[in-house]
Amino acid sequence: MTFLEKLDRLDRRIIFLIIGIAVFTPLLFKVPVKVPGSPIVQSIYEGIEALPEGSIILLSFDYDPSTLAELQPMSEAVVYHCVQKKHKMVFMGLWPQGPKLAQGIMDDVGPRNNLEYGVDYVNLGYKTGGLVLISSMGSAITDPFPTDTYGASLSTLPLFKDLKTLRDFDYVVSMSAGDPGIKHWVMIAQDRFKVPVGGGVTAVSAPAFYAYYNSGQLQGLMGGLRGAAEYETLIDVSGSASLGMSAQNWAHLMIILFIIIGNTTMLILKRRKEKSRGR
Amino acid sequence: MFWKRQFPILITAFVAFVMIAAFFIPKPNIAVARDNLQQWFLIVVTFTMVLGLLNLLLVSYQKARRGRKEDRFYQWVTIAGLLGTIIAGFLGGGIDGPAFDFIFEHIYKPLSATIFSLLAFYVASASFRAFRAKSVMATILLITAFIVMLGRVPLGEWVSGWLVGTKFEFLYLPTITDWIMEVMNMAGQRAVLMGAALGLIATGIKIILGIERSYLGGE
Repeated sequence: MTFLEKLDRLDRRIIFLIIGIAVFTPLLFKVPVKVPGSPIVQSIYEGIEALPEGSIILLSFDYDPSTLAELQPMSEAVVYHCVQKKHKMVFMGLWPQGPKLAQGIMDDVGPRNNLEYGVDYVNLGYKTGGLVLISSMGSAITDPFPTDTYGASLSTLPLFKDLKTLRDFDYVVSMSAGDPGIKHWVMIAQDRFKVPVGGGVTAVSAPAFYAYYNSGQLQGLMGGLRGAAEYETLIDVSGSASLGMSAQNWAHLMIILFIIIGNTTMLILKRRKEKSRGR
Repeated sequence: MFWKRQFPILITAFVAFVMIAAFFIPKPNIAVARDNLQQWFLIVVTFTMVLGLLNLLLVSYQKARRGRKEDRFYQWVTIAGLLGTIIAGFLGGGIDGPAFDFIFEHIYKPLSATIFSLLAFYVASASFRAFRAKSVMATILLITAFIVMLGRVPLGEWVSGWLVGTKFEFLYLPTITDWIMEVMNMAGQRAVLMGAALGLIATGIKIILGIERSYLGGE
């Protein structure tokens, strides 16, 4: 067996090892990579930036830990931005694990910025229902959420003094890994109740949402880790996305090299085969 | 037969007409009916989650007892995980209690993220073995993927950054990537979205009129 034939049948464990090293090494050295903000990401930033201090933002954590690596940095970046702008935040989740992930961020961000629960932020928790749940919030938030995730009645929380329906939010941000998610927020919050919606999705599902952005139904979109890194650049924070971009950079490079090697090997072997047949 | 077939169809048609009417007729009475139906939906869906939980438990138990020998262990792991988490939640102080918190933070979160991260390794392996320029269409796909992959990471900016400010600026990889995403991709996505929406409307009408009955089971 020639070298090229061996290369063509390369053991996948070697590929795994190379990818492992390519991803792990940059993470080990923690070299942040700044990514300039693209117009689609800048739109969300500008939407939140333009709101007056004390505006109320609904952050829906519509994902679970499987997509944590891509979506949690986005959530963190948007939360940092809201804190910088002194906006009030209401967290919830269309996915069961979402509010717990929101709580993880606030356990860190809340005390560092002297944020008071019930005044500066509230976690509504998870409720099933997806599209119907959002629609129900349009009638009265207390219909689907009579209490917050800790069991406190919403009427006792200062943040909910003037916050009655979905229309009372100034902006909705959905970090979404699938169904239910950002599409449903666009359909109900934006299209029916005219509340601006922006958010983030995994890189693999981002192409499906460009049409919503182009039509103006979605104010902005962060796609994958790059989207989060762009947002971090815009708010001038070097977070986990900027660190992860370095690893993603090398992983993409390796995949591109694999494609080149795979195709070159295939073409050379094919030509050799044709030549030997010609003889 | 009436209770199994006609009655559910009548309920479906009634609910659908109320929801459609509430959308087009802004009258308080209809809005109240819509809100009530939405509340009922949320309650019914909550019960389906309990049903799903019991179903998972029952199916896993049956497989653990009578399923393939090599799979039985994993069925017991599922049952232990399910019951362990429920017990931790109920007896350990709820979802914010230390026991549930430990399971979520130190078992569920890393396991879940790890499984999804494995995709990167399989994508790399597949890119080497299957992503081959065997036809014209495959070659176009390959070149597009190549450009987008480069354009989505800083590497693309480093490689083609020198083109900025020259007459070949249009070849700057992030610019080409944005064009692919916002023009070519969006055209295709729009077609898919519109097709799916029309299909959804057609299916909706068939369900309301009782033509489509597969959701009732049987037939």
